[in-house]
Amino acid sequence: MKFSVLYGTESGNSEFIAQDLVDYLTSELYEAELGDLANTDPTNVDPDVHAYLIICSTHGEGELPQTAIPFLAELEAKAPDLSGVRYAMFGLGDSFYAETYSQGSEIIDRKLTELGATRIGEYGRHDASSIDDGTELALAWVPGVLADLKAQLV
Amino acid sequence: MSVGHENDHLLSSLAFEGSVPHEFFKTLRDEDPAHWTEPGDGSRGFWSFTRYEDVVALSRDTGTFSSEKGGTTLEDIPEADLQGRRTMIDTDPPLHTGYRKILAPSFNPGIVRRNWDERVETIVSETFTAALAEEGEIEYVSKISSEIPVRVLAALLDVPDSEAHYIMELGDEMIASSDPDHAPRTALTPEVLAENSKYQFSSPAGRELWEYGDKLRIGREKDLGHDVFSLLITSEVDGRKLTPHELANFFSLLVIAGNETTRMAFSHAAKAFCDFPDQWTKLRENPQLVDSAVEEILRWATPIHHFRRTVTQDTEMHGKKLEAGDKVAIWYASANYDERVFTNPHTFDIERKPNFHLAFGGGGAHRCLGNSLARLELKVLLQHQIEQVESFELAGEVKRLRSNLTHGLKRLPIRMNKIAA
Repeated sequence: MKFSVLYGTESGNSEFIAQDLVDYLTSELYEAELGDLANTDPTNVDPDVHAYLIICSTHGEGELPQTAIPFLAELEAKAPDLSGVRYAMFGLGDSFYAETYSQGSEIIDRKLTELGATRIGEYGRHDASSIDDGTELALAWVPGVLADLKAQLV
Repeated sequence: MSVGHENDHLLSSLAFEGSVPHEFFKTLRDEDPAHWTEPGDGSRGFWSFTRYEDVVALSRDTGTFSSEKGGTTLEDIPEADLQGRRTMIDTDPPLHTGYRKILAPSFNPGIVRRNWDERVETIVSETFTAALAEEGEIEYVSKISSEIPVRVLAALLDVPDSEAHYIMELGDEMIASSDPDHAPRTALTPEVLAENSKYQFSSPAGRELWEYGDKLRIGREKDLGHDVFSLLITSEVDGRKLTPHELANFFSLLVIAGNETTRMAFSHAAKAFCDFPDQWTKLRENPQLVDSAVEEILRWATPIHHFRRTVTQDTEMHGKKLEAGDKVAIWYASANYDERVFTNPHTFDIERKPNFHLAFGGGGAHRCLGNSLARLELKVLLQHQIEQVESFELAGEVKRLRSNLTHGLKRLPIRMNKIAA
Protein backbone atom coordinates (compact mmCIF):
# COMPACT_ATOMS: atom_id res chain seq x y z
CA MET A 1 0.00 0.00 0.00
CA LYS A 2 1.15 3.50 -0.73
CA PHE A 3 0.76 6.56 1.49
CA SER A 4 1.45 10.20 0.99
CA VAL A 5 2.22 11.97 4.27
CA LEU A 6 1.63 15.70 3.91
CA TYR A 7 2.35 18.40 6.44
CA GLY A 8 1.21 21.96 6.96
CA THR A 9 3.62 23.65 9.33
CA GLU A 10 4.69 26.95 10.80
CA SER A 11 7.77 26.25 12.87
CA GLY A 12 8.35 22.64 11.89
CA ASN A 13 6.54 20.47 14.44
CA SER A 14 4.08 18.97 11.92
CA GLU A 15 6.94 18.30 9.57
CA PHE A 16 8.87 16.43 12.26
CA ILE A 17 5.87 14.23 13.04
CA ALA A 18 5.27 13.64 9.33
CA GLN A 19 8.91 12.56 8.91
CA ASP A 20 8.54 10.12 11.80
CA LEU A 21 5.34 8.69 10.30
CA VAL A 22 7.07 8.13 6.98
CA ASP A 23 9.90 6.34 8.79
CA TYR A 24 7.39 4.19 10.65
CA LEU A 25 5.34 3.30 7.55
CA THR A 26 8.50 2.50 5.61
CA SER A 27 9.74 0.27 8.42
CA GLU A 28 6.40 -1.55 8.26
CA LEU A 29 7.16 -2.11 4.56
CA TYR A 30 4.55 0.26 3.22
CA GLU A 31 5.41 2.73 0.53
CA ALA A 32 5.34 6.24 2.00
CA GLU A 33 6.41 9.61 0.70
CA LEU A 34 6.76 12.90 2.54
CA GLY A 35 5.42 16.16 1.15
CA ASP A 36 4.85 19.75 2.16
CA LEU A 37 1.27 20.93 1.59
CA ALA A 38 2.80 24.05 0.10
CA ASN A 39 4.17 21.95 -2.77
CA THR A 40 1.10 19.74 -3.17
CA ASP A 41 -1.15 20.21 -6.19
CA PRO A 42 -4.63 19.10 -5.12
CA THR A 43 -5.78 18.83 -8.74
CA ASN A 44 -3.17 16.17 -9.39
CA VAL A 45 -4.22 13.24 -7.22
CA ASP A 46 -1.87 10.27 -7.41
CA PRO A 47 -4.04 7.23 -8.35
CA ASP A 48 -1.48 4.91 -6.73
CA VAL A 49 -1.84 6.50 -3.30
CA HIS A 50 -4.25 4.57 -1.07
CA ALA A 51 -4.52 7.30 1.51
CA TYR A 52 -3.16 10.72 2.33
CA LEU A 53 -2.11 11.33 5.92
CA ILE A 54 -2.26 15.02 6.70
CA ILE A 55 -0.46 16.53 9.69
CA CYS A 56 -1.42 20.15 10.17
CA SER A 57 -0.90 22.65 12.96
CA THR A 58 -2.73 25.81 13.98
CA HIS A 59 -1.34 29.32 13.85
CA GLY A 60 -2.43 32.60 15.37
CA GLU A 61 -6.15 32.84 16.02
CA GLY A 62 -7.11 29.38 14.80
CA GLU A 63 -5.60 30.02 11.40
CA LEU A 64 -3.64 27.84 9.04
CA PRO A 65 0.10 27.49 9.38
CA GLN A 66 2.26 29.01 6.70
CA THR A 67 2.72 26.02 4.40
CA ALA A 68 -0.98 25.05 4.38
CA ILE A 69 -2.10 28.45 3.13
CA PRO A 70 -1.26 27.98 -0.58
CA PHE A 71 -2.80 24.48 -0.47
CA LEU A 72 -6.13 25.81 0.79
CA ALA A 73 -5.97 28.61 -1.78
CA GLU A 74 -5.59 26.00 -4.55
CA LEU A 75 -8.50 23.96 -3.21
CA GLU A 76 -10.68 27.05 -3.09
CA ALA A 77 -9.66 28.34 -6.51
CA LYS A 78 -9.89 25.09 -8.46
CA ALA A 79 -12.45 23.13 -6.41
CA PRO A 80 -11.26 19.76 -7.74
CA ASP A 81 -13.58 16.77 -7.43
CA LEU A 82 -11.93 14.69 -4.72
CA SER A 83 -14.46 11.88 -4.52
CA GLY A 84 -12.58 8.63 -4.16
CA VAL A 85 -9.73 10.30 -2.26
CA ARG A 86 -9.13 8.95 1.25
CA TYR A 87 -7.33 10.94 3.87
CA ALA A 88 -6.64 10.86 7.58
CA MET A 89 -6.15 13.97 9.68
CA PHE A 90 -3.82 14.63 12.59
CA GLY A 91 -4.16 18.14 13.98
CA LEU A 92 -1.71 20.04 16.16
CA GLY A 93 -2.77 22.74 18.54
CA ASP A 94 -2.24 24.22 21.95
CA SER A 95 -5.13 24.15 24.42
CA PHE A 96 -3.63 27.23 26.11
CA TYR A 97 -5.51 28.99 23.31
CA ALA A 98 -8.79 27.38 24.32
CA GLU A 99 -11.05 29.24 21.90
CA THR A 100 -9.13 28.29 18.78
CA TYR A 101 -7.55 25.02 19.87
CA SER A 102 -6.48 22.79 16.96
CA GLN A 103 -8.66 24.62 14.45
CA GLY A 104 -6.01 24.94 11.73
CA SER A 105 -6.32 21.33 10.58
CA GLU A 106 -10.12 21.59 10.74
CA ILE A 107 -10.08 24.22 8.01
CA ILE A 108 -8.35 21.77 5.65
CA ASP A 109 -10.55 18.90 6.88
CA ARG A 110 -13.79 20.80 6.13
CA LYS A 111 -12.61 21.76 2.66
CA LEU A 112 -11.51 18.24 1.72
CA THR A 113 -14.83 16.78 2.89
CA GLU A 114 -16.73 19.47 1.02
CA LEU A 115 -14.89 18.52 -2.18
CA GLY A 116 -15.87 14.88 -1.82
CA ALA A 117 -12.88 13.29 -0.10
CA THR A 118 -13.46 10.74 2.66
CA ARG A 119 -11.78 10.91 6.03
CA ILE A 120 -10.67 7.59 7.48
CA GLY A 121 -9.66 6.64 11.01
CA GLU A 122 -10.04 8.78 14.08
CA TYR A 123 -9.33 12.49 13.95
CA GLY A 124 -5.87 12.57 15.56
CA ARG A 125 -4.81 15.44 17.80
CA HIS A 126 -1.76 16.59 19.66
CA ASP A 127 -2.06 19.26 22.31
CA ALA A 128 1.22 21.13 22.78
CA SER A 129 0.22 21.99 26.34
CA SER A 130 -0.15 18.33 27.25
CA ILE A 131 2.81 16.31 28.42
CA ASP A 132 2.46 13.98 25.44
CA ASP A 133 5.03 13.68 22.71
CA GLY A 134 3.55 14.46 19.29
CA THR A 135 5.29 11.65 17.48
CA GLU A 136 4.29 9.08 20.10
CA LEU A 137 0.64 10.10 19.77
CA ALA A 138 0.81 10.00 15.98
CA LEU A 139 2.38 6.55 16.05
CA ALA A 140 -0.40 5.38 18.36
CA TRP A 141 -2.98 6.94 16.04
CA VAL A 142 -1.82 5.57 12.70
CA PRO A 143 -2.63 1.83 13.26
CA GLY A 144 -6.31 2.75 13.60
CA VAL A 145 -6.11 4.57 10.30
CA LEU A 146 -4.48 1.55 8.66
CA ALA A 147 -7.13 -0.79 10.07
CA ASP A 148 -9.94 1.45 8.82
CA LEU A 149 -8.34 1.66 5.39
CA LYS A 150 -7.90 -2.10 5.13
CA ALA A 151 -11.51 -2.65 6.14
CA GLN A 152 -12.63 -0.30 3.40
CA LEU A 153 -10.44 -1.92 0.76
CA VAL A 154 -11.72 -5.44 1.36
CA MET B 1 7.94 64.27 4.93
CA SER B 2 10.37 61.79 3.51
CA VAL B 3 12.83 60.02 5.70
CA GLY B 4 16.26 61.39 5.02
CA HIS B 5 19.36 59.32 5.28
CA GLU B 6 20.79 61.88 7.68
CA ASN B 7 18.55 60.24 10.27
CA ASP B 8 20.01 56.80 9.79
CA HIS B 9 22.23 57.13 12.80
CA LEU B 10 18.99 56.30 14.58
CA LEU B 11 19.53 52.70 13.60
CA SER B 12 23.06 52.50 15.02
CA SER B 13 23.82 51.01 18.42
CA LEU B 14 24.29 54.44 19.97
CA ALA B 15 20.76 55.38 19.00
CA PHE B 16 19.30 52.69 21.24
CA GLU B 17 21.27 53.64 24.35
CA GLY B 18 18.78 56.31 25.45
CA SER B 19 15.64 54.45 24.39
CA VAL B 20 14.25 52.55 21.43
CA PRO B 21 13.89 55.16 18.65
CA HIS B 22 10.12 54.68 18.51
CA GLU B 23 9.37 57.98 16.78
CA PHE B 24 11.78 57.18 13.99
CA PHE B 25 10.30 53.71 13.60
CA LYS B 26 6.81 55.18 13.39
CA THR B 27 7.92 57.52 10.63
CA LEU B 28 9.46 54.59 8.77
CA ARG B 29 6.31 52.46 9.17
CA ASP B 30 4.14 55.29 7.89
CA GLU B 31 6.30 56.77 5.17
CA ASP B 32 9.13 54.47 4.19
CA PRO B 33 8.28 50.85 5.00
CA ALA B 34 11.17 49.55 2.89
CA HIS B 35 13.91 51.85 4.08
CA TRP B 36 17.49 51.89 2.81
CA THR B 37 20.33 52.80 5.17
CA GLU B 38 23.67 53.88 3.78
CA PRO B 39 26.13 53.63 6.66
CA GLY B 40 28.57 56.12 5.15
CA ASP B 41 31.59 54.36 6.60
CA GLY B 42 32.26 52.30 3.51
CA SER B 43 30.39 49.24 4.77
CA ARG B 44 27.44 47.89 2.81
CA GLY B 45 24.03 49.41 3.34
CA PHE B 46 20.90 47.51 4.30
CA TRP B 47 17.12 47.55 4.02
CA SER B 48 14.92 47.94 7.06
CA PHE B 49 11.41 46.53 7.38
CA THR B 50 9.43 47.92 10.27
CA ARG B 51 5.75 46.99 9.76
CA TYR B 52 4.30 44.00 11.58
CA GLU B 53 2.93 42.36 8.44
CA ASP B 54 6.24 42.73 6.59
CA VAL B 55 8.24 41.29 9.47
CA VAL B 56 5.91 38.27 9.44
CA ALA B 57 6.04 37.87 5.66
CA LEU B 58 9.83 38.11 5.52
CA SER B 59 10.31 35.77 8.46
CA ARG B 60 8.14 33.13 6.86
CA ASP B 61 9.74 33.35 3.43
CA THR B 62 13.03 31.62 4.18
CA GLY B 63 13.49 30.90 0.46
CA THR B 64 13.81 34.57 -0.50
CA PHE B 65 15.16 35.91 2.79
CA SER B 66 17.96 33.67 3.95
CA SER B 67 19.44 33.31 7.42
CA GLU B 68 22.15 31.03 6.09
CA LYS B 69 23.61 33.22 3.36
CA GLY B 70 25.04 36.02 5.45
CA GLY B 71 24.03 35.08 8.97
CA THR B 72 21.55 36.91 11.17
CA THR B 73 23.56 39.98 12.24
CA LEU B 74 24.32 42.96 10.05
CA GLU B 75 28.11 42.66 10.17
CA ASP B 76 29.77 41.39 7.01
CA ILE B 77 31.49 38.13 7.78
CA PRO B 78 33.77 36.39 5.28
CA GLU B 79 31.95 33.28 3.98
CA ALA B 80 34.64 30.90 5.24
CA ASP B 81 34.43 32.33 8.76
CA LEU B 82 30.65 32.26 8.70
CA GLN B 83 30.78 28.59 7.75
CA GLY B 84 32.88 27.93 10.81
CA ARG B 85 30.69 29.75 13.32
CA ARG B 86 27.28 28.90 11.94
CA THR B 87 24.61 27.96 14.48
CA MET B 88 21.03 26.82 13.96
CA ILE B 89 19.71 30.37 13.73
CA ASP B 90 22.12 31.02 10.85
CA THR B 91 20.75 28.18 8.72
CA ASP B 92 17.84 27.69 6.33
CA PRO B 93 15.81 24.55 5.64
CA PRO B 94 16.75 21.75 5.06
CA LEU B 95 19.77 22.00 7.41
CA HIS B 96 17.73 24.08 9.85
CA THR B 97 14.95 21.50 9.86
CA GLY B 98 17.41 18.76 10.79
CA TYR B 99 18.90 20.74 13.66
CA ARG B 100 15.55 21.91 14.96
CA LYS B 101 14.05 18.44 14.93
CA ILE B 102 16.61 17.33 17.51
CA LEU B 103 15.56 19.89 20.09
CA ALA B 104 11.95 20.76 19.23
CA PRO B 105 10.22 17.94 21.15
CA SER B 106 12.06 18.92 24.36
CA PHE B 107 10.72 22.46 24.12
CA ASN B 108 7.01 21.84 23.49
CA PRO B 109 4.95 23.73 26.06
CA GLY B 110 3.65 20.62 27.79
CA ILE B 111 7.03 18.91 27.87
CA VAL B 112 8.58 22.07 29.27
CA ARG B 113 6.02 22.10 32.07
CA ARG B 114 6.62 18.44 32.81
CA ASN B 115 10.40 18.79 32.88
CA TRP B 116 10.76 22.29 34.25
CA ASP B 117 7.84 23.33 36.48
CA GLU B 118 9.52 22.08 39.61
CA ARG B 119 13.04 23.17 38.77
CA VAL B 120 11.99 26.66 37.73
CA GLU B 121 9.88 26.94 40.88
CA THR B 122 12.92 26.09 43.03
CA ILE B 123 15.26 28.44 41.17
CA VAL B 124 12.82 31.35 41.20
CA SER B 125 11.83 30.81 44.79
CA GLU B 126 15.44 30.73 46.05
CA THR B 127 16.50 33.70 43.96
CA PHE B 128 13.49 35.83 44.80
CA THR B 129 13.56 35.04 48.51
CA ALA B 130 17.24 36.01 48.71
CA ALA B 131 16.64 39.26 46.82
CA LEU B 132 13.61 40.16 48.92
CA ALA B 133 15.53 39.55 52.14
CA GLU B 134 17.73 42.54 51.36
CA GLU B 135 16.34 45.68 52.88
CA GLY B 136 15.83 48.74 50.72
CA GLU B 137 16.79 48.96 47.09
CA ILE B 138 18.30 46.15 45.08
CA GLU B 139 20.08 46.10 41.76
CA TYR B 140 17.42 44.08 40.00
CA VAL B 141 19.44 43.02 36.94
CA SER B 142 22.18 41.25 38.88
CA LYS B 143 20.03 40.01 41.77
CA ILE B 144 17.05 38.66 39.83
CA SER B 145 17.03 39.14 36.06
CA SER B 146 20.45 37.57 35.46
CA GLU B 147 20.32 35.04 38.23
CA ILE B 148 17.19 33.10 37.28
CA PRO B 149 18.00 32.43 33.62
CA VAL B 150 21.64 31.61 34.35
CA ARG B 151 20.59 28.94 36.83
CA VAL B 152 18.05 27.59 34.35
CA LEU B 153 20.83 27.53 31.76
CA ALA B 154 23.06 25.62 34.19
CA ALA B 155 20.31 23.04 34.61
CA LEU B 156 19.68 22.90 30.87
CA LEU B 157 23.35 22.15 30.19
CA ASP B 158 23.94 20.30 33.45
CA VAL B 159 26.89 22.43 34.56
CA PRO B 160 27.45 23.84 38.08
CA ASP B 161 25.92 27.27 38.78
CA SER B 162 29.40 28.73 39.31
CA GLU B 163 30.49 27.76 35.82
CA ALA B 164 27.24 29.03 34.39
CA HIS B 165 28.11 32.48 35.76
CA TYR B 166 31.45 32.38 33.96
CA ILE B 167 29.66 31.31 30.79
CA MET B 168 27.11 34.09 31.25
CA GLU B 169 29.82 36.73 31.52
CA LEU B 170 31.36 35.54 28.29
CA GLY B 171 27.92 35.62 26.70
CA ASP B 172 27.40 39.20 27.90
CA GLU B 173 30.69 40.32 26.51
CA MET B 174 30.11 38.58 23.23
CA ILE B 175 26.62 39.81 22.47
CA ALA B 176 27.13 43.42 23.57
CA SER B 177 30.41 43.84 21.79
CA SER B 178 29.72 47.51 21.10
CA ASP B 179 29.06 48.36 24.76
CA PRO B 180 32.27 49.34 26.57
CA ASP B 181 30.89 48.27 29.98
CA HIS B 182 30.19 44.74 28.88
CA ALA B 183 33.00 44.34 26.40
CA PRO B 184 36.03 46.27 27.60
CA ARG B 185 38.51 44.15 25.71
CA THR B 186 36.72 44.33 22.41
CA ALA B 187 35.71 47.94 21.88
CA LEU B 188 35.20 46.53 18.41
CA THR B 189 38.50 47.56 16.87
CA PRO B 190 38.88 46.27 13.33
CA GLU B 191 41.93 44.26 14.44
CA VAL B 192 40.05 42.46 17.20
CA LEU B 193 37.13 41.80 14.86
CA ALA B 194 39.32 40.34 12.15
CA GLU B 195 41.25 38.18 14.59
CA ASN B 196 38.06 36.63 15.99
CA SER B 197 35.94 36.61 12.88
CA LYS B 198 35.69 32.82 13.01
CA TYR B 199 33.83 33.04 16.33
CA GLN B 200 30.39 34.26 17.39
CA PHE B 201 30.01 38.03 17.10
CA SER B 202 33.69 38.21 16.05
CA SER B 203 34.41 38.51 19.74
CA PRO B 204 37.32 37.16 21.83
CA ALA B 205 34.64 36.11 24.34
CA GLY B 206 32.99 34.16 21.53
CA ARG B 207 36.25 32.29 21.09
CA GLU B 208 36.56 31.55 24.80
CA LEU B 209 32.97 30.36 24.95
CA TRP B 210 33.48 28.13 21.94
CA GLU B 211 36.54 26.59 23.56
CA TYR B 212 34.63 26.01 26.78
CA GLY B 213 31.86 24.31 24.81
CA ASP B 214 34.37 22.13 23.03
CA LYS B 215 35.94 21.05 26.34
CA LEU B 216 32.52 20.36 27.83
CA ARG B 217 31.69 18.20 24.84
CA ILE B 218 34.80 16.07 25.32
CA GLY B 219 33.92 15.45 28.96
CA ARG B 220 30.23 14.90 28.30
CA GLU B 221 30.80 12.33 25.57
CA LYS B 222 32.20 10.02 28.27
CA ASP B 223 29.50 10.89 30.79
CA LEU B 224 26.19 11.43 29.05
CA GLY B 225 23.22 12.80 30.98
CA HIS B 226 19.66 13.94 30.30
CA ASP B 227 20.64 17.51 29.52
CA VAL B 228 20.21 19.28 26.20
CA PHE B 229 23.90 19.08 25.35
CA SER B 230 23.89 15.29 25.80
CA LEU B 231 20.82 15.15 23.56
CA LEU B 232 22.70 17.03 20.85
CA ILE B 233 25.75 14.81 21.20
CA THR B 234 23.72 11.63 20.74
CA SER B 235 21.35 12.86 18.01
CA GLU B 236 21.65 12.72 14.28
CA VAL B 237 20.99 15.23 11.56
CA ASP B 238 20.43 13.86 8.07
CA GLY B 239 21.65 10.42 9.12
CA ARG B 240 24.91 11.57 10.71
CA LYS B 241 26.10 12.67 14.13
CA LEU B 242 26.82 16.35 14.71
CA THR B 243 30.51 17.19 14.33
CA PRO B 244 32.52 18.45 17.34
CA HIS B 245 32.59 21.82 15.63
CA GLU B 246 28.82 21.94 15.21
CA LEU B 247 28.37 20.96 18.85
CA ALA B 248 30.60 23.76 20.12
CA ASN B 249 28.68 26.22 17.95
CA PHE B 250 25.38 24.88 19.28
CA PHE B 251 26.71 25.35 22.80
CA SER B 252 27.41 29.02 22.10
CA LEU B 253 23.90 29.47 20.73
CA LEU B 254 22.26 27.86 23.76
CA VAL B 255 24.23 30.13 26.08
CA ILE B 256 22.96 33.27 24.42
CA ALA B 257 19.48 32.09 23.57
CA GLY B 258 18.65 30.61 26.96
CA ASN B 259 19.98 33.46 28.94
CA GLU B 260 20.39 37.01 27.68
CA THR B 261 16.94 37.48 26.24
CA THR B 262 15.05 36.10 29.23
CA ARG B 263 17.07 38.37 31.51
CA MET B 264 16.05 41.37 29.43
CA ALA B 265 12.38 40.46 29.66
CA PHE B 266 12.64 40.15 33.48
CA SER B 267 14.21 43.60 33.74
CA HIS B 268 11.72 45.28 31.44
CA ALA B 269 8.87 43.67 33.35
CA ALA B 270 10.02 45.16 36.66
CA LYS B 271 10.59 48.54 35.06
CA ALA B 272 7.15 48.45 33.43
CA PHE B 273 5.51 47.82 36.80
CA CYS B 274 7.43 50.81 38.21
CA ASP B 275 6.23 52.96 35.34
CA PHE B 276 2.65 51.63 35.34
CA PRO B 277 1.82 50.97 39.01
CA ASP B 278 -1.90 50.62 38.24
CA GLN B 279 -1.07 47.56 36.13
CA TRP B 280 0.70 45.98 39.07
CA THR B 281 -2.27 46.65 41.34
CA LYS B 282 -4.56 45.14 38.74
CA LEU B 283 -2.42 42.02 38.46
CA ARG B 284 -2.24 41.61 42.23
CA GLU B 285 -6.00 41.86 42.46
CA ASN B 286 -6.53 39.57 39.45
CA PRO B 287 -3.78 36.95 39.53
CA GLN B 288 -5.58 35.00 36.81
CA LEU B 289 -4.30 37.68 34.41
CA VAL B 290 -0.76 36.36 34.82
CA ASP B 291 -0.69 34.64 31.42
CA SER B 292 -1.78 37.68 29.49
CA ALA B 293 0.57 39.81 31.60
CA VAL B 294 3.45 37.59 30.48
CA GLU B 295 2.48 38.16 26.85
CA GLU B 296 2.32 41.92 27.30
CA ILE B 297 5.69 41.90 29.06
CA LEU B 298 7.14 40.05 26.09
CA ARG B 299 5.70 42.54 23.62
CA TRP B 300 6.77 45.46 25.78
CA ALA B 301 10.31 44.14 26.26
CA THR B 302 10.97 42.82 22.74
CA PRO B 303 14.42 41.57 23.79
CA ILE B 304 15.75 41.29 20.24
CA HIS B 305 15.52 44.56 18.31
CA HIS B 306 16.24 43.07 14.91
CA PHE B 307 17.70 40.15 13.02
CA ARG B 308 19.21 40.18 9.60
CA ARG B 309 18.26 38.27 6.47
CA THR B 310 19.94 38.23 3.06
CA VAL B 311 17.99 38.43 -0.20
CA THR B 312 18.51 35.31 -2.33
CA GLN B 313 16.76 36.46 -5.52
CA ASP B 314 15.75 39.85 -6.88
CA THR B 315 12.39 40.86 -5.50
CA GLU B 316 10.28 43.93 -4.89
CA MET B 317 8.65 45.30 -1.76
CA HIS B 318 6.74 48.55 -1.40
CA GLY B 319 7.96 49.57 -4.84
CA LYS B 320 11.63 49.15 -3.92
CA LYS B 321 13.84 46.73 -5.81
CA LEU B 322 15.70 44.37 -3.50
CA GLU B 323 18.61 42.66 -5.22
CA ALA B 324 20.05 39.25 -4.52
CA GLY B 325 22.75 39.68 -1.88
CA ASP B 326 21.15 42.73 -0.25
CA LYS B 327 21.09 42.80 3.53
CA VAL B 328 17.73 43.19 5.25
CA ALA B 329 17.01 44.07 8.89
CA ILE B 330 13.65 42.95 10.26
CA TRP B 331 12.79 45.14 13.22
CA TYR B 332 10.77 43.36 15.90
CA ALA B 333 11.31 46.50 18.01
CA SER B 334 9.11 48.34 15.54
CA ALA B 335 6.65 45.59 14.58
CA ASN B 336 5.60 45.05 18.21
CA TYR B 337 4.58 48.71 18.40
CA ASP B 338 2.88 48.86 15.01
CA GLU B 339 -0.42 50.68 15.50
CA ARG B 340 -1.83 48.75 12.51
CA VAL B 341 -1.93 45.73 14.80
CA PHE B 342 -1.71 46.98 18.39
CA THR B 343 -4.15 49.61 19.67
CA ASN B 344 -2.33 52.21 21.78
CA PRO B 345 0.95 50.32 21.45
CA HIS B 346 2.75 52.55 23.95
CA THR B 347 0.30 51.66 26.70
CA PHE B 348 1.43 48.75 28.86
CA ASP B 349 -1.79 46.77 29.21
CA ILE B 350 -1.66 43.39 30.94
CA GLU B 351 -5.11 42.56 29.57
CA ARG B 352 -4.20 43.18 25.92
CA LYS B 353 -5.98 40.66 23.74
CA PRO B 354 -5.30 39.46 21.15
CA ASN B 355 -1.58 39.91 21.61
CA PHE B 356 0.23 38.04 18.87
CA HIS B 357 3.48 39.88 19.43
CA LEU B 358 6.70 39.07 17.63
CA ALA B 359 8.99 38.90 20.66
CA PHE B 360 9.80 35.32 19.67
CA GLY B 361 10.32 36.22 16.02
CA GLY B 362 8.05 36.79 13.07
CA GLY B 363 6.85 33.18 12.80
CA GLY B 364 8.00 30.45 10.47
CA ALA B 365 10.90 28.09 10.95
CA HIS B 366 12.96 30.30 13.27
CA ARG B 367 10.33 30.98 15.92
CA CYS B 368 12.16 30.99 19.27
CA LEU B 369 12.58 27.38 20.32
CA GLY B 370 12.76 28.18 24.02
CA ASN B 371 9.66 30.36 24.16
CA SER B 372 7.74 28.05 26.52
CA LEU B 373 10.63 27.92 28.98
CA ALA B 374 11.00 31.70 28.91
CA ARG B 375 7.26 32.12 29.47
CA LEU B 376 7.38 29.70 32.38
CA GLU B 377 10.25 31.57 34.05
CA LEU B 378 8.42 34.89 33.68
CA LYS B 379 5.16 33.47 34.95
CA VAL B 380 6.59 31.79 38.03
CA LEU B 381 8.45 34.94 39.09
CA LEU B 382 5.30 37.03 38.66
CA GLN B 383 3.35 34.55 40.77
CA HIS B 384 5.88 34.89 43.59
CA GLN B 385 5.84 38.65 43.30
CA ILE B 386 2.03 38.80 43.30
CA GLU B 387 2.08 37.09 46.68
CA GLN B 388 4.73 39.26 48.27
CA VAL B 389 5.22 42.59 46.52
CA GLU B 390 2.88 45.50 47.13
CA SER B 391 4.54 47.81 44.63
CA PHE B 392 7.67 48.39 42.56
CA GLU B 393 9.56 51.66 42.70
CA LEU B 394 12.51 52.92 40.73
CA ALA B 395 15.31 53.81 43.13
CA GLY B 396 17.96 55.27 40.88
CA GLU B 397 19.25 55.70 37.38
CA VAL B 398 18.48 52.99 34.82
CA LYS B 399 21.33 52.09 32.50
CA ARG B 400 20.56 50.64 29.11
CA LEU B 401 22.76 48.50 26.94
CA ARG B 402 24.35 50.18 23.96
CA SER B 403 23.14 47.85 21.25
CA ASN B 404 20.85 47.95 18.25
CA LEU B 405 20.60 44.15 18.40
CA THR B 406 19.39 43.38 21.91
CA HIS B 407 17.21 45.38 24.27
CA GLY B 408 19.14 45.06 27.49
CA LEU B 409 19.21 46.88 30.79
CA LYS B 410 22.56 46.89 32.58
CA ARG B 411 21.43 48.49 35.80
CA LEU B 412 17.98 48.72 37.37
CA PRO B 413 17.88 49.93 40.99
CA ILE B 414 14.49 48.96 42.36
CA ARG B 415 12.65 48.88 45.63
CA MET B 416 10.15 46.05 46.00
CA ASN B 417 7.77 47.14 48.75
CA LYS B 418 6.63 44.08 50.62
CA ILE B 419 3.00 43.38 51.40
CA ALA B 420 2.48 43.97 55.12
CA ALA B 421 2.18 40.67 56.94
